[in-house]
Amino acid sequence: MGRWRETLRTPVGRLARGRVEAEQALPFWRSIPRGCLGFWRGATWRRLRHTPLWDLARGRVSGALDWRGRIDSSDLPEPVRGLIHDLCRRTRLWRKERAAVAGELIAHFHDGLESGDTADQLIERFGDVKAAAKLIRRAKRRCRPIGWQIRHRLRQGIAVLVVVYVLAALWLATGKPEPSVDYLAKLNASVDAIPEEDRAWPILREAMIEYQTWNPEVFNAPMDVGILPKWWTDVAFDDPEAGQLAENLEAYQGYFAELRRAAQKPHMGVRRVTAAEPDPRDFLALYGPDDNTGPKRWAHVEDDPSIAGLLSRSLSTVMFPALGSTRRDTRMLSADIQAAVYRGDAERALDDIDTQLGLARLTAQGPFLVEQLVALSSMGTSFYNVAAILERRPDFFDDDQLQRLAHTLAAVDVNPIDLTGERYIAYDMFQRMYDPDTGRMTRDGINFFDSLTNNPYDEEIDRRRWYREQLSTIGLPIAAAVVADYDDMVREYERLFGILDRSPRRLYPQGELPPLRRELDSRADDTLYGMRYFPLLIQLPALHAASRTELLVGSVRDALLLAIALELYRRDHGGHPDEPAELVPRYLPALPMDLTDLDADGNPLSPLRVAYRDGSPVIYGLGWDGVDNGGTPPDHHVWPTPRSTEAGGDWVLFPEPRSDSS
Amino acid sequence: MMKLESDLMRGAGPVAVLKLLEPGEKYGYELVERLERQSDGVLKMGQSTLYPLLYNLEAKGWVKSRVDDTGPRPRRYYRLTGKGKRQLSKQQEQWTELARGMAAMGIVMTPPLATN
Repeated sequence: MGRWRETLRTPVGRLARGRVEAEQALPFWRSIPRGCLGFWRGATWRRLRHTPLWDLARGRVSGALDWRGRIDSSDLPEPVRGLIHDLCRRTRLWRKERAAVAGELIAHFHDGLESGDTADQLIERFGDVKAAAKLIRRAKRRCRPIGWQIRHRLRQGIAVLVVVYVLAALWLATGKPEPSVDYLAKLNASVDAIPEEDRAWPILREAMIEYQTWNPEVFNAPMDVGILPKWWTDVAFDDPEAGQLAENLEAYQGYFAELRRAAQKPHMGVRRVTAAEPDPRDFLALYGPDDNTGPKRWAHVEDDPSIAGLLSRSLSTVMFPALGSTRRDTRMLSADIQAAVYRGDAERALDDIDTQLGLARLTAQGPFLVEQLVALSSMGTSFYNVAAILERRPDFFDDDQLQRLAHTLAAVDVNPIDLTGERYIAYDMFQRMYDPDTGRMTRDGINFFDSLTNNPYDEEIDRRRWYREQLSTIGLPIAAAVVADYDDMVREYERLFGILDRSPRRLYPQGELPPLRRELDSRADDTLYGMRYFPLLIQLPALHAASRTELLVGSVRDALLLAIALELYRRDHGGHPDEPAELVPRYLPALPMDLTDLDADGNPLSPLRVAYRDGSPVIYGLGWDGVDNGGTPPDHHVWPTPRSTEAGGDWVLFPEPRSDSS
Repeated sequence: MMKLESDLMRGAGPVAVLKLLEPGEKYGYELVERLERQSDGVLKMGQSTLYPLLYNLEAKGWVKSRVDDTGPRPRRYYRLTGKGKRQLSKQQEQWTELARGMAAMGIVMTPPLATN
């Protein structure tokens, strides 16, 4: 026994006499004389404190739980009392149980003494007190009520689960994603091979810098009320506002000249970089020289090497410097087409249409779906302009110009969707979320995914990142158990992608879903599936809608080619043909097909139809109801989307149906 | 007298205690004494081992205890329950079979000790 423990167990009286002699197994406070603690150590209060409630309720102050008192008053020799006391204390049982054990051992030792053994012999034969206490504790607990047993097992079970969970969390936290494929380099390899003189992006970028497109106060200054005072369709060509617009746009002709020069280049030639490693010249073109938000943002990420490492060269953080400019420039060129029509300058209008479609072609070369969709949107805008001119000013272009326009439209690739980039994004994301050795989700992977949905460059979010990261560590075993492992995730991705690849390229009527959408919808209520494959469910739904956009834009283009052919025929023959088939092959190589009139396999059955209203052609498909309404659209027509079967009416592609035609 | 190894004692101890309780209830010290005497010291166990053993038998429902306050001091007596009796009978059969098998193997050289 250590000196300090011996001192603590020495009665106060002996300590006062300068002697340190511990009473065996008695705590310090037990050695304090009764009188010192007054009532607290008083016999009545003591009995009261050690009386079970049940006895008290019956008016009995039994002191039945006072196992110490029972031992002290047992008349056994001191060493024996010490042994019993030590044993009972070590059992750490309930007071009631200790009292029962104490009572039994008191009787045991009394019997032993009465049979002629000495206290020392009895103590020796009793055996190891520590081992006995442990065995007694274990055995007595087995005798406890079933309710306690259940609670105890539950507590043990929970404790085991917690330990296993913590160990699993620690084990999983050691997992590290190790991106091994540089998809960014793969994408840039083809860009790097393009000669500088064939690239459009350097021209566009320098024009953006020169004309300060990032600065609305400078770039929008020539306009009274912004880039476009009104949408193109809202301004009639002879509207006074169109004249004002034409005047304002004179200030931008230098900029448009640069756009036209860029649109003639064979390649866009944008090198892909991430937000954390921007090209300084690109950055200048997008944000200007005074913008200081970018570099500041990156500093936060650099503080966290694991996330910075995963974000670095991640396709999920790739910048699209030419995307915003394509949108803006397409809108501005639309305004310039309007100004050209107002001024009767057909060549300028043709140049603008050429430029719009050229920029769309360059943008569509990007490997990512978002770029291809923006390109389709730009094409759609350009087709919209052409449709408006053909409808409102059929004589605006001469024959030669019309034929050039037809060739320009026919040359447009209206099927730019290529999902290679989307596959790269998915696989790049997987390699940044999973440990390559175990195939398990990692803590850094969760934080990486989290950073994709919460801007990692935001200071406020950055402050909360520590808590989110701890949460991700705690939640890691759950994530690892619920979220699919690498192999499973890839397998499911390929399965869903296979459905997309095998899907027929066709339009679907409202209520009939494409195969991938059908598959995803069938899993919509499956929460576990949603959690297991959540990264896929974020990316894939966007893909199945892409081919629909292609088909709609393509149909508009085809209707425009048919409209030009009809106009050329009218000029040649003094009237429109009785049947559209008469246009083939001189004015059209073949009649475009109606994508709403399909056989059971989704193949088009008939060409687009032509009707005449006030001497002008209306080009249309049957619509999902399959009934020819002579080119009459349903109510609430959203051009160029065909309406539902119930809505009836035809799918009118040219001109854009509107209630108030200008 | 040679003492049994703890593994053997763990199997033999409970059945021995059940057997001692078969004629009637007994208290702790009495059981210790009888175990040693009747087994000729073979089944002598540390007194500290007996009480956990009794509590375990009680937890299994093979014995039941009561406190007798009528004597000079309270004393806890143990007696066999119906379940305990069935268990004793079953274990006796098993030990008999074991002894027979051990004898046949030439491992057991002397017949089992007779109960006093």
